[in-house]
Amino acid sequence: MKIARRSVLSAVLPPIVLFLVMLAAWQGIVELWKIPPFLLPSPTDVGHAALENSGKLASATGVTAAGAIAGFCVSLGVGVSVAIVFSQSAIIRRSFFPYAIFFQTVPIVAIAPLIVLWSGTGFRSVVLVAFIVSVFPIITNATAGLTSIDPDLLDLFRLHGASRWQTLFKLRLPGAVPSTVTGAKTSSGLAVIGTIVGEFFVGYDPSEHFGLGYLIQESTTQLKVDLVLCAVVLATLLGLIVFGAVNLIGALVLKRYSIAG
Amino acid sequence: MKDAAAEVVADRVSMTYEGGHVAVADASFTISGGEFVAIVGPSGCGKSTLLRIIAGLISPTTGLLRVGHRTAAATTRGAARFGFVFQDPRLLAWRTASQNVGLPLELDHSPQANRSSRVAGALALVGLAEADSSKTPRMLSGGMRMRVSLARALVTEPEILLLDEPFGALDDLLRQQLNDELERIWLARRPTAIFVTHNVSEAVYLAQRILVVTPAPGRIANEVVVPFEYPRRPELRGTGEFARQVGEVSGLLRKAAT
Repeated sequence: MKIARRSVLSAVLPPIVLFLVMLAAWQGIVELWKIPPFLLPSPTDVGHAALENSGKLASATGVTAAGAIAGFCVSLGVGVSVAIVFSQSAIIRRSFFPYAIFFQTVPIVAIAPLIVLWSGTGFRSVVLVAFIVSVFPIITNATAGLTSIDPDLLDLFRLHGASRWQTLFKLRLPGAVPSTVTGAKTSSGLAVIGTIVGEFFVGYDPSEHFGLGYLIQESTTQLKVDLVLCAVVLATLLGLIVFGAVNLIGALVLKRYSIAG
Repeated sequence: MKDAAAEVVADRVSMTYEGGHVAVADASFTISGGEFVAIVGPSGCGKSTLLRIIAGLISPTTGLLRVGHRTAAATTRGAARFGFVFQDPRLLAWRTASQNVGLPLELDHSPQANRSSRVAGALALVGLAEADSSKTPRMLSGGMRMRVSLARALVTEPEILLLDEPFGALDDLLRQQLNDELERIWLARRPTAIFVTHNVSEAVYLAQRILVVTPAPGRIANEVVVPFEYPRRPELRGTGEFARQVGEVSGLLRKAAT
């Protein structure tokens, strides 16, 4: 117990000390050179801005979190469905896969105007961007999992006259869980990034609450750098929390799906 | 002997894979219903391919393979029930031991009513404790996993039991224990058993007859009848007669390899 506490302390303490040292240096530099706050506000300025705008920041973080989670869930649903279709035939896979790469390679900025044209601005379009950015790892990993089933197990299913559906639901889908979890981890991080990028380009709708991406963009144009920094910190924390949550759920799920203890 | 067991007749069976690799060449043999036959040969001699041809998982390139009862000349393959044991247990990680054993019953839509009693029966037959039946494979030892795998192959009460080097990855003591278990199960159920192995003493200990296969392309080089009575006891392994039989089969195996 004592040893465990000491090792946790030795892991956590150095980065915290470094963080405090950097904050102090930052504060010192800003005060020493009298840097104007529209270029670089001091840590205390950022702290004040965070307190003053706490309602706005909390609301924006909530909107962005909702967009990221929605985008991630749509990616998971659509990605796994596409992978199931891909797993049913090599010809389907070969025909459609080059087009699935579209999601991986398309620069989102380039198609943002089209998204605004077809879907308008606001939350729905933000989720659409998050989905486009985050679906590819799920498609590839789930397809790999569904198609790389142990040939002996496929033989066993054939020996007992299993139907295509039985093979899919009792063997391929459960067998693909570990690789789908791997894809979901990558996808969850991308969904947060995709949401913030989406809020930059397609997020503005005056009738809705806005997210962190829009807040960053708007505050930058108004030279409220302190607010921008608050939003950046919150966006980073949000990304960490979503990634951590998906990793935790993934680890719990994987426990059931691996033979090696 | 029960009439449940089916015979297997191979007539000049050959198997050439895409790319020209000849796995099995001109194999002809008859295995009677309820017989225990071992197929021995070096690794990569097409033994596994032969088992898969018998199971109907792959079709031979040429030749005929008939599986069925002697009385019904036109028995189709689907009429004979197979059990297949792989070299590794090949269990589904997300299912408990009893769910793994019940899988074949789910796949061929056996009546729901007696499924759990059949699973319990198969688990008892392989000597797996009831407390272990609700464990997932990762909680079981290597030997217990192999017992679950054996139970899965037996749960449908197969007429033909195909075993593809099932104990090859286990340590020697465990292998000998499971040999005794397999013998006991075979004597109790009397399916036609076809046991592929590269371990000569295991083949001599278990089988009534041994088919010696040459290195690729696999041909049946020799047939050896093993004279020992059942039930065979572990003491048999220490006798001179046993050593002589093992020596004879090993000699034939060496000769087939040259």
